Amino acid sequence: MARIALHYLPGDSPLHRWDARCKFFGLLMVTATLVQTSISWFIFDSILLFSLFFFSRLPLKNILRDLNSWMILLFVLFLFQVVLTPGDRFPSLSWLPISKDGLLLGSLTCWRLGLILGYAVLFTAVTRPRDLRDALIWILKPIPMLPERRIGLMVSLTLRFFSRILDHAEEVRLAHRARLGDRNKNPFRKAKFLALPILRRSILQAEEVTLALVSRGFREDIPLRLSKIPLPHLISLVIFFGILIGVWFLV
Amino acid sequence: MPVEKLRWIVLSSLMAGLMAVGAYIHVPIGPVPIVLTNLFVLLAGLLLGSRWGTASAGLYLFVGAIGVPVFYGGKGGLAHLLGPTGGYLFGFVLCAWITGFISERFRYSMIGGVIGVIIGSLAVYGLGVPWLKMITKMSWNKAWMIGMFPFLIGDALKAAVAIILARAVRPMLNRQHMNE
Repeated sequence: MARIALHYLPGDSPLHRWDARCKFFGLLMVTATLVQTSISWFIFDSILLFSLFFFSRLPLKNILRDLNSWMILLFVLFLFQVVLTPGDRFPSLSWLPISKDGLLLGSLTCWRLGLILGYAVLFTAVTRPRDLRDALIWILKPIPMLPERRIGLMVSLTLRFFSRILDHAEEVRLAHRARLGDRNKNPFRKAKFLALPILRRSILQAEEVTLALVSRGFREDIPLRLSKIPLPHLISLVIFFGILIGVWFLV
Repeated sequence: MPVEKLRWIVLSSLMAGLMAVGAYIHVPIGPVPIVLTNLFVLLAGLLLGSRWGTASAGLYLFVGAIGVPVFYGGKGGLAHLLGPTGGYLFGFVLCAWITGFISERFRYSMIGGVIGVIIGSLAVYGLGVPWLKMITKMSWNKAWMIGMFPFLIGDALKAAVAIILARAVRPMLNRQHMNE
């Protein structure tokens, strides 16, 4: 089954309809709150994330299934933090190389990374790549001497390639396993048979994208005519900002 | 827009995407983790040259700065760019430029690639270690011990893999250029 995390998932939820520029600024605000190490903020951000997933009517179960590999990564990170952070050990479990500080630090780090990842998945799932590109062009436009259209295109392509490379990696891994390649325990041989096909497929795809852009007559000098942000969308952003400021004072 | 220029734009975006994927394959040891991002930064310099390799690394930083989780372990945001590992991230841009520049001067030969990846890899530390020292207020000795020496063997391996991958993939890129 195809991977859906970090891909756009069409829908008609309020979050899908919200202006991409507002969504982008909203994401920046939430990311700024995640710099904090306060547990109250983490709880607030987690509740907010789950509420937004609920309102966006996304297939949360399928997305969570796709994020399994990230969960493993987070768990490994957690183990490293727990074992490598110095501090007092638990008196009843002194034989375990785990410190209280390490446990707290590991939990908070993984929680924060999980939240950042969750918001990124949500943002990409409810924002069309074209809307994101246009939003970036709109934001970069006031900065002089900057090829905003090119940067917008490159950012949207990077995000697209990021998820496609992960797809390629999964396909190559499965093909490798189907040919019993996973029985080979030599990591260098394994890397050779995985890395090269992924890179080759990615370059071939890059060529297809280039030809698609050429055939559609991509030009940098065409002025972008983006409509003004609709007032209700702007008000929603201001309310969202107000809520974050309110939580800031409460915490 | 000429096809050639568009191809470089798309390839730079692809390399930035690969750098982001490389950041997810990491081993967290101390304040500076081991990541595969620099392997792809070197590869960007070797394959795309100084101009587009630098653009690719700069694009990776920009995507991370706007909040997309593309830095090591799924981190992102401007705050992370200015954190203890920020110097290494800015060092990637310098690394891509140096690797590409040397590689171009040696007409993409093997020896040019080897010199390019060695100096390029060291350039990451040239920015990363002083930045780490400045942010964490540790001594120079400690900064070098924590921020450079544990990674040298891994970097040598990554540099070797980058050269092997570049040699394997370059004929494909050359073929695409010839088809024009």
